[in-house]
Amino acid sequence: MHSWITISLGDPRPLYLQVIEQVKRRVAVGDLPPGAELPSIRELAAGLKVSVITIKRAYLELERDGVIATRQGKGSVVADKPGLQASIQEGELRDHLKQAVSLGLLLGKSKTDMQRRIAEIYEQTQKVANEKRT
Amino acid sequence: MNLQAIRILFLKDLFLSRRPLFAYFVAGMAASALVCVPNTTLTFIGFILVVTVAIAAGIHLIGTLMLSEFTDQTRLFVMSLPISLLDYSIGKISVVLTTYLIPWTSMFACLVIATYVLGKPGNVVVLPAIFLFLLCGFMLQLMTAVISESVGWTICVMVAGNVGLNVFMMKLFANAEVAATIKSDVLSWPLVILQIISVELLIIALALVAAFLFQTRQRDLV
Amino acid sequence: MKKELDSSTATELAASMEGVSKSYKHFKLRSIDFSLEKGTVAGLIGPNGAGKSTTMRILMGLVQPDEGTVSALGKSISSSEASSKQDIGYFSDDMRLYKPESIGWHMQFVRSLYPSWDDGYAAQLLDRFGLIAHQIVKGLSHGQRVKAMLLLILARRPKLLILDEPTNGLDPVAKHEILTELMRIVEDDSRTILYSSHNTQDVEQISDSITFIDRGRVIASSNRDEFVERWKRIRIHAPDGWKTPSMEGLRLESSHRNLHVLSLSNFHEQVPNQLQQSGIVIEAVESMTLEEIFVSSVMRGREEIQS
Repeated sequence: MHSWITISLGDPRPLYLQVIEQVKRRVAVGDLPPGAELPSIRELAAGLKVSVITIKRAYLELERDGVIATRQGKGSVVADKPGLQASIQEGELRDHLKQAVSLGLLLGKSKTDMQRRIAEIYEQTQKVANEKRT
Repeated sequence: MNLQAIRILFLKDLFLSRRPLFAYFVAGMAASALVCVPNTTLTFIGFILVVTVAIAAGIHLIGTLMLSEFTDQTRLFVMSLPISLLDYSIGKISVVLTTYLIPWTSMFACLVIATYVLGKPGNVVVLPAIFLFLLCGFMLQLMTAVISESVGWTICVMVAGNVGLNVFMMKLFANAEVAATIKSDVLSWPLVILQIISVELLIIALALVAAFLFQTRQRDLV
Repeated sequence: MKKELDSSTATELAASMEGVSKSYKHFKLRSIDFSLEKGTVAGLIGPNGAGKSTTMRILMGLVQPDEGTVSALGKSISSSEASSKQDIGYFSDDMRLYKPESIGWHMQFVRSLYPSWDDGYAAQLLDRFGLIAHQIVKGLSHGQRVKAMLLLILARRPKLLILDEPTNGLDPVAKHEILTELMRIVEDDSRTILYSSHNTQDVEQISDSITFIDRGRVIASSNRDEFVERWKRIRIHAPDGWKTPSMEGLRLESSHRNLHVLSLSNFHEQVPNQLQQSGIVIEAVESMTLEEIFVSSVMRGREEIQS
């Protein structure tokens, strides 16, 4: 069960975020269907060799985001919500865009500047993807 | 004070020192046997060997059982076990003393027998004085090892003891009363011997108490 | 003596130290306050000579502090008491076993002193660590020796483990084997681990809380993710004659002409604006690794003492 999550210390982001991201990814692609049981906090911590507090925090945020539901004394399961997969995918996309926008703001770029860039990169990436297909 | 722990520690050290203990016991018996041979030169050599075995056994056992705990860092391992410093001290001092007394007592007994076998019963009076002197030296080494935790200092005390022993024996045999007793056929204990023995026993007791008190007064176990 | 159960938060402590000080000829441990929550893994990171070993020895009752109180597993700890050591497992990198004897002999010896020794588990550990009972200690490699010593501790299932640099000098495979075994212990929420290293990688992943220690003082205490979130490295371009503003938590790490690298220990979203107001251009805001955070914390701590 734990083999699909990998924690990398080389990744500068907090560990709990890595766990959250990977759980969301699995739910988004359907590996973890609604109602699927998740390992207990301590089990997962031991399995991944990360601190219990990391998993606790990850589970807490996953619950807050509606991705998982914790039943009293019975552990956690993937939330049984229609459209969960889609909303996670949307969430991921928004996160990435938010990062890009934050950096842009930091570097002093305006909204039109950003929009221009996004359009440019979109076309470039689409072109490369099309070339790969042919 | 945990008797169970002390017993376990005692047996552990006894086991760890089994090889030197056996070696010294056997060497001691061999040297004592040599003393029994009715040849003055061989008896003399045998006697020197007995003294050598006693001194070597002392320093070796103190080295193996006490000093090596510092140099080999096994002390940290032992002190992490559920034993108090008191348990450790009692166990350690008693096992070092016991392992020394095994060859010491057997040689002492053999030499007493030797004086009768060789037909020189008068010599028996010097044996307690000499053997207790050796035991004194050992106790002082033990005390030094406990207090200084240093191989260097312990060896100094050993060397001093060795030199002291030779001087002591020289003066002992030169003493008129003693010389007379040795030659006679009647066994009588000269006062000077009794005085010497009392002083030696006192030193042994004091050294033992000093070593024990110092060990148990430590606030840090390592 | 401080009560272990803090009535306001009801967090049970596996161990605590209050105002603990110890003086040696060339080193002083100064007024250490430290608490260890039950069921957690706590990491203690410090450079060599920082006082990690002394702190852990005091916690174990091997060294008596000059001042302060120490308690572990609900009992007051002092060097004259042996009973607390029954449920505490202590490992130190400079501990040694008896070279001429075998691992099996040591197992028998330790077993005779601990009623909690589990033969089955001990056999499992021998297997997991790749050790053989009749191997003589003298012939063991460093990694095997460490694993043998840990086996002797783990097999009796202590409630509190105090491990002083257990992964020091180990190859990655041995480290993996040991961490896996330690994490199995974590599954039991009544058992606690305190684990030190001079190296952040060994500690950061599995520790619920991380404490930095340097020159006998506690420098900082938090958990890995919080450290990584609060600390940022900021690369800036500043005009000539610019001086580091006295902002709390801000420190100049390095400079090259007009390019400066700053570290900030309490980053929040307004900071870039505040800095830009002092007339500089921010080139980048980056995350710092725990190791970098550790080094910066230590440097700050030392500068604080000097000023």
